Amino acid sequence: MAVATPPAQRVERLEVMWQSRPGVLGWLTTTDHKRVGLLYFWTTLALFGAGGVEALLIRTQLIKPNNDLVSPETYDQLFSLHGITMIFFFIIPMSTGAFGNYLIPLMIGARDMAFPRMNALSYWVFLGSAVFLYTSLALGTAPDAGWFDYVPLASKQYSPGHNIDFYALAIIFNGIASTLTAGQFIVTIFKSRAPGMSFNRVPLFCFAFLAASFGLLFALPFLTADTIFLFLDRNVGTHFFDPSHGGVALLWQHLFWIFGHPEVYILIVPAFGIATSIIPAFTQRRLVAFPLVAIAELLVVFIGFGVWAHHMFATGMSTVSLIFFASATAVVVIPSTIQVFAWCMSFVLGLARFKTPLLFIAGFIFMFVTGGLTGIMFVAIPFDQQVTDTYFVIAHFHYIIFGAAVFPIFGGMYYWFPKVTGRMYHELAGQISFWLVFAGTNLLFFPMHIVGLLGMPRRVYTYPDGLGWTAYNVAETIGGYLTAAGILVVFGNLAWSYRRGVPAGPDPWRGPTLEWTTSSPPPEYDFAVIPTVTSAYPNWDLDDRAADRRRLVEGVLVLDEGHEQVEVTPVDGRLSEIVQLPHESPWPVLLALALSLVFVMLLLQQYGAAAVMGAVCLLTLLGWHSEEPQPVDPTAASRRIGRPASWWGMLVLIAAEATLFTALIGTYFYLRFKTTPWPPDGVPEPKVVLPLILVAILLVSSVAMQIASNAAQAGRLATTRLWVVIALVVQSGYLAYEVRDFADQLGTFDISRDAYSSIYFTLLGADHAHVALGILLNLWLLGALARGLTTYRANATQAIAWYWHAVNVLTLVVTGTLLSAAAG
Amino acid sequence: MRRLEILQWAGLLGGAMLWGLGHVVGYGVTEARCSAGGVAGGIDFDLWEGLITGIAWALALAAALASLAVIAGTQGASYESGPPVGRLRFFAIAALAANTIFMAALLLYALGTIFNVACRQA
Repeated sequence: MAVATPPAQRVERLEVMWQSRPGVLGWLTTTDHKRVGLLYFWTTLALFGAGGVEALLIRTQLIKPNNDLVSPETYDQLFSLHGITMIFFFIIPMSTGAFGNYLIPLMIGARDMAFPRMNALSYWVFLGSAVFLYTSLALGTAPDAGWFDYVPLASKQYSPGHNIDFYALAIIFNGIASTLTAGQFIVTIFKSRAPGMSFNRVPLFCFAFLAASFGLLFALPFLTADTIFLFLDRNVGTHFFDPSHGGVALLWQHLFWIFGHPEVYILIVPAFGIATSIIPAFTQRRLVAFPLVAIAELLVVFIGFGVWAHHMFATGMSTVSLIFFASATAVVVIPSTIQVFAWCMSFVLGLARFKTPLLFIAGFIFMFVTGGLTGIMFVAIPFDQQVTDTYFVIAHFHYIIFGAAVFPIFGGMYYWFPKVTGRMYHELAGQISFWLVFAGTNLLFFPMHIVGLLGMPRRVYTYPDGLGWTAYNVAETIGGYLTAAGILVVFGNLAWSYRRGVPAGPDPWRGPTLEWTTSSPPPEYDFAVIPTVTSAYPNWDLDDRAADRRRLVEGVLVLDEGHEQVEVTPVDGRLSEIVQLPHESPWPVLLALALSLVFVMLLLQQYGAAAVMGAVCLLTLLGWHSEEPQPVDPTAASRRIGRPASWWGMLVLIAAEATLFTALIGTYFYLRFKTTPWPPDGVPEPKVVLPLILVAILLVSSVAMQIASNAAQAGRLATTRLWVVIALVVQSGYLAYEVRDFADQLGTFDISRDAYSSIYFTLLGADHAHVALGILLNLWLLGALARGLTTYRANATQAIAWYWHAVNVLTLVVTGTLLSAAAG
Repeated sequence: MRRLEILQWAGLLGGAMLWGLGHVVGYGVTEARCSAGGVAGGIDFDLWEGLITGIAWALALAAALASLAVIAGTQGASYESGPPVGRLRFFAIAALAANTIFMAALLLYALGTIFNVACRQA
């Protein structure tokens, strides 16, 4: 390291090194987390506008009885798209995609995400899924069975058009983007923190996003499985949800709500994170009960996985089954309450300055508590059964979703506006916008409680006169327009301030976290020197920040010799190694484009063309991996403490895949409990001995892959290649036999015969697909190893070995599950 | 220190895993018991549910005690202190709160399932 280099020259080198390409091409190929965050911001804002217009049309239709502004068919599409847009295409991507992408690396002292290209891919896939969904509206075939899309209404029999196919495919497509984002955040927060930022010093904002990311990672596979079943039922003739062939319609609801209820917490937990950032800044004190708030953020999502069937209290399940969900619903209130108390006590004990961001947070607490109180009422099963499917439920979840998720988003926009743009917003206009939105939302949503208790059902496109509902609906509609006016003031203020606002400086709020230590807007490399941290409020540690400035002069942790970033140990934040990050790349946008075409072909039922586009995706991935980031110091890996980010990335992928198989295996046993005999008469019992022998042989490939991995870490190229080839031979032999057997069995009993055959072939097919993917990975690995052994390829060998261990365990479990039918 | 490390992770993860298992297995038994193709038609439902939730509750209590032991073992340190002591204390405080919540949930499961009639439609 050139100690004699002056700090200004170091900063200049960083600027050159991290400079983005200008123009549209720069945006298309960007991997900069801030630019990706801004892309998410503008896209989700447009979608928020679309969802908002849909909401206003719904409210206008309901302003008077027997209104005919829109037809029933259009109304169905409007309320379905409104829900889908706001949940999947606005709140999640705005909070995680925009806020998370922009802020997480800045808050943890990183220069970018752990996998910058994958981060860019998540945005382009998200954009593709949004265009895909809204194409359905342009074609007049938008989803029309609600955002939860219950069967049998969503089955081919009752919804023969493409509406539901658009829904199923858009949700799967969108889920890929969300999974990529979630995985990215988990690995980034685990591995890319500033040295010294042990887990007890991680900002609460990051705890919240970690909770949301784990939630997405473990919840989305259930929705993916559900929508795959729906697509197969509608287009391939399977019978997952068809009771006439052994299927169970309620299966849709179970899988949907195992995703759907954690989803509610996934929506609001990032908002908790925003609140825990804003409150310390505007009270100038540390948040009360820091460890309890941190665990409460995680617990809300974790316990949220155990409440799914409280959406199903009116479906005829037994009381003893429902007890589990009613109890969990009661208990999940506790971590939420811990946070409310911590926020309120921080107000009381600090010197609260009620600027616009804090006003929105105060409004959020009011809305969250109000919505929470009605939420607790649903614990009482008889009460829930009375108000199910009425406007009371709409009132409750809009208080939560709009009040608790969107209010903090607005607060966050005002709070970080100076950081992102370098300018201050207009304070008076900000306060006016808050009061308009606050009054509007309460006028919009509060009367829904009353009209719901009066019996007005949800999802009706109109209602007759004389039921006493009209005045409430008029008030709600006025509230809707008032809210829209307030939102327009928010964005008008921000747009005006972007041009005319006074310069903000790096830290206008005296904020506690690291993003306020760098300039506004931040440079492309985020920090001139990687900060070191000794508390959870590092910007208030003046000695540490002075030390940063000294280190810039000394050239310590400036990392100006490449596109470099530090990695740390996940728990204690000890410096692990310095890694080279990839810079701008065309591959993410190209891969997303190819993937979009896969989904278009699936919609058109052109399965051959979809397979061809799938192959194009694989070729794109080959191109992607042809560029290897070169380590500045090739011997650094040997001095690494702990495992590399690639290993953690693979672990996250394995977790998502294991969850997907949990959903499939859970479905198998759920159908089995509901169907006798199992397997149905006329279907042969599965063979037992041969599959077990084959699985045992496949397990041998795990040993071979582990030896290859160890050899790669030790730098022994020939040994690595040899054991990868041995593994590949075993894996290919296994798959060849299994594919032939699969085809033979399809000849005996068809996948569309009944629910048993549907889950049997789906489960087996999913497992074979994972084995096939592993073989492709090994083929790629052999190709890469033909060019020698690098740190990148050694890490890849390790990650692929772990993939194989996971696939082999999954194969064992899947085989055991399928063979259990032979046990009677 | 190694003992405290083990206790910290046991405290932090133990209660969560036990609540998760208690929830899934406890609910799974109700489905198995009350479904047409259920495999547990002849079992003593109250005994099963009592055993599942009772064992889970006792182990969650052990996880809570493990957290308490870590808090006692790191007395004098702040939860913001440098690792490992600060981190141990931080996670132990968090785990104690979490385990208390999990124990409350498991208790509700046990009371609710045992005092209700099995397989009666809600």
